[in-house]
Parts: sequence; structure tokens; C-alpha cells
Amino acid sequence: MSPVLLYLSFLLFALGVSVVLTKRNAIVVLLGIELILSAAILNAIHFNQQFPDRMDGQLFALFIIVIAVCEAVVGMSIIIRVYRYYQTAVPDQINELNER
Amino acid sequence: MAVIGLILLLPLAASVLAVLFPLKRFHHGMLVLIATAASFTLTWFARDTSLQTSWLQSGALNLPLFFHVEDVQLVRIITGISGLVQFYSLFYLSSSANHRSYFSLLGFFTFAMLGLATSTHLLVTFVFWELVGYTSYRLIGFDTTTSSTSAALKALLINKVGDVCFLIGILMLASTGLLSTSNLVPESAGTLPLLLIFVGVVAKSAQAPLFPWLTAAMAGPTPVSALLHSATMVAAGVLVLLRLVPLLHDTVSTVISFTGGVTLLLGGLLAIFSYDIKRILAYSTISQLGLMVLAIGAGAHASGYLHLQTHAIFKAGLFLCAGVFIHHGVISGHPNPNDIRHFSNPNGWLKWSWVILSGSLVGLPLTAGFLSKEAILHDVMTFSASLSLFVWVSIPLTALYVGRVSYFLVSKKTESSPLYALLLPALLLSLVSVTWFVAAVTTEAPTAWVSIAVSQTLVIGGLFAGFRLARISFAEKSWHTNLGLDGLYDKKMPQLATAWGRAGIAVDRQIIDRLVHAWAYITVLFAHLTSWFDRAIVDLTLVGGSSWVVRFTGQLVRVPMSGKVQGYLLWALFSLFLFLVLWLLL
Amino acid sequence: MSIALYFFAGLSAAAALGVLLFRQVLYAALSLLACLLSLAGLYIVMQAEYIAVTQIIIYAGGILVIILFGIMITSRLAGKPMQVSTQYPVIGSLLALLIFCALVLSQPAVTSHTSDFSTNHWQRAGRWLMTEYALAFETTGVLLLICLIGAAVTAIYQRES
Repeated sequence: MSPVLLYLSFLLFALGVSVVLTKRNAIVVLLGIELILSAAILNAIHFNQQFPDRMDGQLFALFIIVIAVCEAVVGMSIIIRVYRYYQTAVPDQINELNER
Repeated sequence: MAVIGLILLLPLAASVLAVLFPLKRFHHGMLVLIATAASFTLTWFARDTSLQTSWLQSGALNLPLFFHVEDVQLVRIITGISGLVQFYSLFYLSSSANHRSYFSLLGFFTFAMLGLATSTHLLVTFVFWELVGYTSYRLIGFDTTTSSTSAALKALLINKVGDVCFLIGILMLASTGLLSTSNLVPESAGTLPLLLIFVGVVAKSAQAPLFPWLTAAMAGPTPVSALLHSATMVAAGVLVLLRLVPLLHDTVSTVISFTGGVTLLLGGLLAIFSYDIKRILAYSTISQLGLMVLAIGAGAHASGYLHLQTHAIFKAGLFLCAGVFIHHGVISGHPNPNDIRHFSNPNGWLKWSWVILSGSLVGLPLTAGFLSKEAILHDVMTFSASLSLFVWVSIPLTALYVGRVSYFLVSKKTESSPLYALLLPALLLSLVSVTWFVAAVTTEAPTAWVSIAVSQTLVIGGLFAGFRLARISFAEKSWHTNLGLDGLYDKKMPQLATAWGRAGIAVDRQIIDRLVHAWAYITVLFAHLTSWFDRAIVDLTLVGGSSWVVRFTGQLVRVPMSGKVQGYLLWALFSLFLFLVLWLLL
Repeated sequence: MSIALYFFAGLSAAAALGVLLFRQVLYAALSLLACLLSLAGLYIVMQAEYIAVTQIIIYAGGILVIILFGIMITSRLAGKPMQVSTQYPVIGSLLALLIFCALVLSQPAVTSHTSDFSTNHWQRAGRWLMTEYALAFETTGVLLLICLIGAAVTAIYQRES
């Protein structure tokens, strides 16, 4: 049973990475980050199963979820702000720091 | 001191004033004449005998301007004859001639000659030597005809040969520190510098073989011939020789005396065969200068110096007399006024002054020439019997040509032309000649009666032979003038010079030009090489290479710097992957 | 039990793949919602009910709603369903694949022990939170507050002068 969960977490991580790298939209990138965090949560819970008398992994997962919420909220507010400012949510087009 | 300066500078000042300011024609001559007369008068008031200033002082180099009047009589003779000749020129010179430059040159000559006679430093002497030579050149070519111009050029060039040798000799002497002639150490100089200086003397004093310029110089006006080419300037060489007497040793003395002896006889011989009065007098001058040089070479400097002075007086007088003859001939309209056969006697006073002056030339008693010639004869006999042979031969020879000329001049019947102004200087000079004799004989009576008797006999014999010779007429042959040396100087020398020049051109074209071209080729080749190096190595490899490296690095660095957040993230994750692989491998 | 685990695992994997493959942003967001819900089911299977509930409430109920609001706001101008294009598709996928392979190769051996079903996990979680993780719990609360204020300040609408 255990390799499946590990592989699932690997897969989620890899998919999240590829989403973050390839999608040209900030919101979708945010979705990819959620996927990566989900992989981490899954691993944390999975590793907790080795030590049934402790709750460390599950509580880590809880904190990760809270952090993910914070990240999502702040990220979303930034996206909205950037969208207002640049009229776009495509990260490539926000390239003020790039060479001209 | 100041008086000597005045004596020297008055003629110069007059000369400069005469050439600078446009005066009336007659006034130029008057100005210079007054200045010269003032100099002449001042010689009686000169107390100190030397004037010393510095010409150039720069560190160790010190060129003093040092004048010293050893013998005030020499200064008197120079200024006196100069003054007389200037006076004479006032009446002699045609009204169309350029009085301004003529009298200016005469005044300048007086200054230069005085400087030459009184300077005691050989470099200063050389400067005045050159000034005298330049004035001579200008005055010979005064008529600006083709013949006189070429004569002037000839005189200049032949003199220049001597001048160059003279300068080299002076510089060689300078290396031994013998430039000041006032305190020469006897026989401390080498032979070569003295011989080189003697070459200068030979050219200036018209000794064999460099005498042809003097006969050519007769193309100048007769007063100029009287002043420069008989009395003063040609004596400059003898004067310099007299200065260097302490240095002369046996080898040099032998060369000097034999040169003088040959010149003495050659001049006398050539004078016999000429009909041109000025040329005869020129040969006579050459001959008498030879006598002086011979005397100095033989060791009889005192008598040589005496003859220099007496000769200046009587030869100037003779030239001035000849000038009157020529002037008369010109007025009478003779086609060839210089030819003694056509002479007529303009005035009785002229006849007598000629007789006295020519008597002085041959050395008859009652004239100054007697004093100097007998002194030379006596001294040379004392020092060297073999050299006295030259003198013994020269005495009848001189008498021969003097007798021949005098026959032509004196035997003509006397007219009465009023040429008193022109006569005055010659009369004065003959008077001086007689006075000198009287003054000298009364203070010290002659003692060598034997040689005097023999020489006087020879003179009188020579004179009568001359009278006979004058009746024989003969055609002039080419060797009669200057022994045919003119051909050598006029044709062979230019040919030699041209050949030398051609050789120089050939060397220039064949060797130097090719060297220059080869050097230019090498330079161009080197330039190509450096330009290739510049283009290929420096520009392309170093500059271009470094810029390419910079651009390549820049573009390499640009790749990750895409400005995209996700691009950066890609690199970050790639490095994460690398760390992961690394962790796996370890 | 094993079937439920494979079911939820497959479902979440497929939903995650949907996030990657859907071109419309809304579909991707909904696909993520499906993924998160199936993960919540998986957590229940793994005896982590407390986390599963939190996942459903916070993730599915909170984050996804925020994201859907964001999609609605940003696609207002376009006036049509929001599409998303891709960049570095090959490199990005290849890198993800490589990382996946590396992770697979590096997988540790995990031995899982199933605890007793009768155990009250809620009680244990509450006790752990209030004892050993009290500081982290409180700090997380402060963090949430800061995040709330920060997000409000950042996203507040300011009329540009």
C-alpha cells in the first residue's frame, strides 16, 4: 500500500512543478503551487503512519494547510493588484526588471 | 687704447656712413678720405700700443679681440697709402663709376688691413684676412665687365684654396694652443699646420704656383691695384709669416725660402716679356714678394719686413704713376692704353717721380729700396750662401725689366698736361722714399761696401741691358703670361672639378640612391608586416577576440535572464534536480 | 479499503493531470477542487480525519472560492472563458519527469502501521495541539491574522489619482 501513496505524492509534486513552469497565467501557477503543497501534506500524513502513537506528521500537515491558505490569499490579492496595474495576469508580460 | 680703437674704427665708420647715406658723388670719397687722414694723423698720438677686448666669452671658450701695434710705422704706411690712393681715386675715377660703393669698399679695406696688421690672435687675423680677401674680390670686379668679373672670381677661388688651408692650419695650431702670436714659444709647432698656413700665404701673397690671380686682378681700377695688389693686401701673407717666425723650423724654412726664390726669379723673368704696364708691375710685385718670403725663409726677417714697407711705398707710387700714364692714354684716345709702346709722357714731374720710384725698385742709392734690398742681400748672404744666389740673380733681372720699361716711358718727349692732382700722391711717395733713405743713412751708415759695390754694378749693367732690350720687339707668346698656368687654372681645374662632380653624382645615383631605396623598401615591408600584425593579431585576435568573448559570455548569461519569473524558477528547479542527483549519487 | 485508497489515489492523480492539461482556467480550478476532495478522501483512508475535514473546509471551501473569485475578476475584461497558454512545455515537462524519476529512485522504505480504529483521533489531535504544538498553533493564528490584514490591504481598490 505504501509505494502507491509515495508515487502519488511524487506525481502530484511533478505535476505541480510542470504546471508552475509551463502555464502562462498567475492563477494557474497558484493552482500548481497548491498541488505541490498537497504532495507535501500527503507525504507528511503518510510518514506519520510509521509512528502511530505520535501526531507530528498530521499536525505538520495542518500547519501546511494553514500556510497554504495564507499563501493563496496573499498570492491572490497580489494577482488582483497586479492585474489592476498591468491589466494582465500573465507573468511574462510583467517584465519591468527585464532588460529593454 | 682709445686712440688705437679710433684709428681702427674711423675708416670703418666712414665706410658704413658712405654706403648708408646717399651723398653727392664727390662727398663719398671726401668722407672716407677725411676719416683715413684722421687715422693717419692719430698714429702720432697713440700712446698705448694695444687694445684688448673680448669678442666671445662662453665658459671655457674665450676668443679675445686683441690688437697690438708692434710697429706704428706699418700703421702709418697703411693709412698713408690708403689716404693717398683715395685722394688719387677722387680724380682718377670716371664720373659714371659708382663712387658710393667704391669709396665705401676702400674705407672698409683700410679698416680690414689695419685690423689684419695689428691683430695678434690668429683667429682674429683670419677674420680680417677674409675681409681683405672679400674687399679685393669686390674691387677687382668693380668694372662689372665680363673679363673683370671672371678675374675677380679667379682671384677669389685661388685665394679660397689658400684660405681653407690657412684655416685648417690655424685650427691645428689651436689644438696645441698657439693661437696668440704675441708670445709664441720657438719651434713648438708641427710641420703640417705651418705648411698649411704657408699655403694660405702663398695664395694671398701670390707666390708660385698660385700667382696667376694677381695678374688677372689687374682688371680692377689702377688705384685699387696700387693699394691692394701691390702695397698692402698682398703683403698680408708676408705679415702673417713674419708673425709666425718664432715657430718656423728648418723644414718649413727651406720650403718657404725655395718657394720665395722660385717666385722671385719667375716674376722677374715674366716681367721682361710683357708690354702691358700693369702686368709688368704685377710680375714685379710677385717677384718682390718672393724676395720677402725668401728673406723670411732664410732667416732675415728684419730686412724682409723692411723691404715689405719700402716696397709698399715705391710700388704704390709706381702704380699711381702707371695710372697717370694710362689715364693720359685714355684721354688721348689710345685703343690700348695699357701698352707701354704707345705711352706718351704727360708731365715732367711724372718722369722724375717714376725714375726715383723705379730706382727704389732696383735698389739704387738715394732711395728707400736701396736700404731694404742691400739689407736683404747682406743678411741672406750671412745666413745661407746658396740662397743668396737667388738674390744675386734677381738683382740684374729686376734691373733688366725696369730698364726696359723705363726706356719706353722716359725716352718719350714730354708734353705738359695739367694732371697735378693725380701726380701729387706719386710725388709724395717718391719724396718719402728719398727722405727715408736720408734719415736711415744719417743714423746708421752702410758697412757692407763689397756687396753694395758688386750689386750696384749688376744693377747698372742690368739697366743698360734693359735699355737695349727695349728696342727689340717680339710677339707675346702664351707662356709669357703666367707660364701657361692660366690654362691649368681655367680649363683643367674646371674639368677636374666637373669630373669629380660627375663621379660624385654617379656615386650618389648608384650607391646612395639605391641604399635609400633599399631602406625605403625595407621600411615599407616592415610597415606591411606591422599593419598585418595590427590587423590580424591585434585587431582581429586581441580586440575582436576579447569583444567576442565578452559578447559570448553576455549572451550566455542572457539566456537565464529572460525576465520571466517562471524562467528563473525553471533554473532554480533544475539546480534542485542537480542537488537531488548529487544526493542520490553520494 | 485498499480499493478505496487506489480509487482516491487514482482520482486525485487524474484530477492533478487535469490541472496540467485543461486549457481553460476555470476547468483547471475545478479539476484542482476534485483533486483536493479526493485527497481528503485519501486522508480519511489514512486515518487522518481531522486533516481531511480541515482539507475540505479550508482548501476546497476557502482557497478554491478565493481562486474562483480571482478568475472571475481577471477574466472580466476578456469577456470570454479564460484560456491559458503554455511556455517551455517540453523543458518544463521533462524537468518535472526528471524530478519524478529522481524522487522515485530516492524513495525511502516506509513501513506503515495501521493504528486501532477505536482510537479517538480528534481527542489526540486537540491534546497535541494544546500541549506540544501550542506555540506553533498560536503563531499560526497570528500569521493568519497578518495574512488576512495584508491581503485586504494589498487587494483593496484604490482609485488611481
